[in-house]
Amino acid sequence: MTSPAGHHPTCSDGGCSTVPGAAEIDASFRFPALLVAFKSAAWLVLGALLLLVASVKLHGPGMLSGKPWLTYGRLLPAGWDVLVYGFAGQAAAITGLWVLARAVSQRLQAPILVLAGLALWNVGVLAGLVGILCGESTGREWLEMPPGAMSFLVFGAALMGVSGWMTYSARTNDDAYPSAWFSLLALLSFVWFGTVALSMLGGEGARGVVQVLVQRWFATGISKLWLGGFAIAIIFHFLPTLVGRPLASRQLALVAFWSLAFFTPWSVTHHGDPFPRWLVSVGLAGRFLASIGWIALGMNWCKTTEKVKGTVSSTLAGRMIGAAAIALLTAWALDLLTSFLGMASVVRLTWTQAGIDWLLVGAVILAVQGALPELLSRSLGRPLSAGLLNAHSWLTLVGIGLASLPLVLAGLVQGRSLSNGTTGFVEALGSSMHLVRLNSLGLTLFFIGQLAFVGAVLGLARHLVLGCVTTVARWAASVPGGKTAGVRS
Amino acid sequence: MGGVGSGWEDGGGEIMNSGPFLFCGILLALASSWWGVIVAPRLQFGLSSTVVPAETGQHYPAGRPGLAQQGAEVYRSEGCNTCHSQLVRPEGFGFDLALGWGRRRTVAQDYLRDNPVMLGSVRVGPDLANIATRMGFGDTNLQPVFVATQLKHLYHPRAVTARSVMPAYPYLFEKRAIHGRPSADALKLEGAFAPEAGFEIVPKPEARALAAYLLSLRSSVSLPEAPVIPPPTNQVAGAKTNSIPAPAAPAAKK
Repeated sequence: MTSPAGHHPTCSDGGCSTVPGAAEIDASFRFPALLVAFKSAAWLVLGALLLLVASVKLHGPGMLSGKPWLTYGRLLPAGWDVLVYGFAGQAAAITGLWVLARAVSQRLQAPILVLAGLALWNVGVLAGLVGILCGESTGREWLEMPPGAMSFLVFGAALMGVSGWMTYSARTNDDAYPSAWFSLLALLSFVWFGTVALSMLGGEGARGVVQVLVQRWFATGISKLWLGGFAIAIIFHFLPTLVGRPLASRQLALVAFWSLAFFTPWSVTHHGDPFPRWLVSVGLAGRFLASIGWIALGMNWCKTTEKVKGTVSSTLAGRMIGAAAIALLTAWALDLLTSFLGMASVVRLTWTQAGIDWLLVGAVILAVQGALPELLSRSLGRPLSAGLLNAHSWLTLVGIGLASLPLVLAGLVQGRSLSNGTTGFVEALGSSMHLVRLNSLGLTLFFIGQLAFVGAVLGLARHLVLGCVTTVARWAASVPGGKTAGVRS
Repeated sequence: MGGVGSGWEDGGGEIMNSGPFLFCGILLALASSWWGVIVAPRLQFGLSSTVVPAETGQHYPAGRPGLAQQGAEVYRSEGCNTCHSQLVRPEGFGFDLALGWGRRRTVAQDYLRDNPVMLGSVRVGPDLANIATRMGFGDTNLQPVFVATQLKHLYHPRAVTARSVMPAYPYLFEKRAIHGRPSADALKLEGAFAPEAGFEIVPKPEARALAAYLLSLRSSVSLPEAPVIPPPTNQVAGAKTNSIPAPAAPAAKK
């Protein structure tokens, strides 16, 4: 973001063209960013609150049990979907589009498509939330929203995807930066996974356990390629400038991109699943081959920040982006580790999977919340409150850490207790509950942190409204014959 | 703050600057996994039909009776699969068979008629794949006892299992004044869980349906790909069944 503002004419064999400057690109995101800031912040607080209440109900199962919509089985998927689709998804999409536009040095193309896509998206999330709380969940994890609501999300994502591809096609530089590849992968992923899943699960396309395969394929795709793709794009965008040196290797980025794109969606099965053995082997092979991509990412990021890692954590955005990179790689490492036969026999179907999911989504939230204040302050020309953002970043970091890692350990404790064959289920679960309490503490900190984030966004809104009022007042004062002008004269 | 202007230290990968190449490459990558993990399995076992095991001579899996099918909808609606799995893992992997959670592993054939299939991914509660048979209520004569126990458990889990973390579902029941004789299907509750004098707790149709669905969950027919395994005597001796305690077996755990 160090490029000067304004137009920069460039000439090639085909003639001269106008290259928009960084400030002009940022300004093209003014309305989408503003829209996303308010709506996603509202979803963020609501999602965090629903998850917190669900978590507390684990310790007091009789609490709030009189109303169907407050039961744990509805609150948890509702909160998760609101957090994933309501906040992380749309905030990641808009920041992903922004890093894409920056990577190709072009203004956002067809912003009306993005605004329409966001409107459809929010209608879908609202309908999905109401549907789940009213008992219309589909019963499929990550796909709990009723199909009608999910269709809105797919259409919305498609419109945003068209804008993204148009922006890429209109690029003004010769070499697209790797963040553009990952943003495009993410933009296409949601439309692909969502369309196929809805069409196959809606009719007779999937019977029996094929439904489970479709659901897991969708969940893997959108968690690791859609959300993960946006997070990787954001990290690629920020990391080099945070440390003031170029990206270590475009070749490693290439390896990472194609490894993840090709192999990640294959990793849908686990040891012990009720599928034929070949399918379980395919899932494990996919997980191992996708690891090539994660290793390439880790090497690239480590080499880029070699000997200057302290520089990354010295800034607010750097702290969030750096933590997001670590959380992403840790989530991958845990996912791989728990796929080995010995570990899988202990931790499969325990809290551990929930912990890894939290870590992955937490990484995306960290990346998005590291980038979103930058996007807002640059596109709107006014910074967010540094104090509130600072408090938010620490509370979010600690909150996500406590919400995820204790759950990973709780699964290990639960699985080991049951593995001895003599411990009852309730006793085994009870032995892990002290770690689950840490998860509740983490969710509490996370929720408070998000209130600080909303406070920062509302502070920005206040300045914008005041700015508008001042502008209108000045305009009114300058109108000849106007009431105010008349008084002054 | 922008990596774009910073460039990279090495080169290569110029083909990534081609939009059509990138679009087709991503589509190919995503489509290949669809073929591999969805279309191919669908061709292998997604189109299969019921089988007739020699053990029973009846089609397996059989369709659920109407009330149990309605119960499956309640199970989905309440999000029971958020905490409960319906999956018995194979011998030598995990503890499911050792704990008596099934007579054999579950396989694709067991879920043929389920829609949606709710395998579950986290066990905050015990597995339910064979909940009735593993609690000793497989016999038809004992099924009313199973239903009564489940209804009590649904009304308030801690009325059955003291340390349960399962939420209560009082809204699946009706509290009403007793006029004359108590209803035959009123829950038999004691202590703090019992309603005040003159009132009774009666299950609504949703609760009955859910109990009927739980009763219908069984995957214990021997199949060629999953023959029934005799219980390992050395492990069962000290093992707890990890099921909701039945009146006849109060020592068992949830």
